[in-house]
Amino acid sequence: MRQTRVFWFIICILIGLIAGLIYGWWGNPTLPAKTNLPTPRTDYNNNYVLMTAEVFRVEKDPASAAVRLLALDPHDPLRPVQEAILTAQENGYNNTDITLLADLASAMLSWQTVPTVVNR
Amino acid sequence: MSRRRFPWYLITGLLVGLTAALVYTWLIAPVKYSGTSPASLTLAERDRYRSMIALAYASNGDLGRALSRLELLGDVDPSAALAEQAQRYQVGGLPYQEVRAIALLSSAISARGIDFLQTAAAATVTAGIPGFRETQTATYAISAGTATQLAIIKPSSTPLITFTPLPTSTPEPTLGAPFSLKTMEQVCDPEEPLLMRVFVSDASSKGVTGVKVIVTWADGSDSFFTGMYPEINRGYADFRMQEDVEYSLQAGDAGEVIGPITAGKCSYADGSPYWGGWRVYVYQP
Repeated sequence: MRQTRVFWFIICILIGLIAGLIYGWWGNPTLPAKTNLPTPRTDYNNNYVLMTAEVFRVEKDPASAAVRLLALDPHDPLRPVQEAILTAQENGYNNTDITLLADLASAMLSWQTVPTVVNR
Repeated sequence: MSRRRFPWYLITGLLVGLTAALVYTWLIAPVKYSGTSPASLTLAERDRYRSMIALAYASNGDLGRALSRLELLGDVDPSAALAEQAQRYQVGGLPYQEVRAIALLSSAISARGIDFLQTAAAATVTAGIPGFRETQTATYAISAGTATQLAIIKPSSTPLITFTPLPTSTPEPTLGAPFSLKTMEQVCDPEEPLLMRVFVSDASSKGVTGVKVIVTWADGSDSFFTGMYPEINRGYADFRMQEDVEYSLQAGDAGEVIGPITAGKCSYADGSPYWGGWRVYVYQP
């Protein structure tokens, strides 16, 4: 009798687990409200980089551009630009856009390699 | 005679399993979203995306591209969303350049009367953004005067975009003559007491968006921009006055200083007083 009860108790736990997994992952998953910029699709991110490049063409301010790009990669503003250039070439962006991205990439490269003056 | 007891242990087992699974799925191993659209971004990130769209528009003047980008965010009324964001940014003290760019884009959209009719029954439009893997469905109903025109962009297998800056019909502040006072009138409106309404227009009497309006008083000043309320007028801005304070107003950095402006007293039909406001019309001769 006791073994039967333990058996059905375990079965119920398993049923609860399966139901909970289905509900928690598919039925009512944690909301995507915490999605930040790096998670959207790559082409959206590339579009963000292209917008940054369009603004940079006018502003000519690598620091502002870098701040905007850090939203995509908090460690390296150059990396999203490089990725965007690769995607641009693969997807046949027009030359104007690729040139804009290339200009931004070279600006980011120069910006990163600007020597820091150390006061001794 | 023995009564069968309700099998509570089975319910307990179910609850234990369910609780453990929910803790695991919601806290330990929650669903990770990747490849999401900008529409699923947080409010702050959507703002950032919208802000970038506006800045890019301010740089290239390509309204078509800006609209395609805005469509990704799925705002029901992109113009209103932009205007609302511009107001929030202004209150939050964000850079003038950004606030102005957002207000300009909002105004440009409302000026063109572009409605986002996101319906599959409408024409299929390839989003005018390079690199798109999918097509978006939308119709842009562009009203020009009484005539309504449907602009349909055919889907293309090659995700190319023609980078043609479009002329904008939105009057923007230019380096023309400084803004001067056209007329000003005291307004008695019990619904909006102490409100200074400023209307900035160009020589052809069209409202001008993005003009910085500076209000100064004895011990302080404030500045704001026109274009935050395109539903009223593209050149409209307002300021809440204090009682018995003298203000002076200047539209644009080199504009005429207008004032002193002081809230006047109005009275209800029964004679009880309330504070009135002002309407100030400024123009660029």
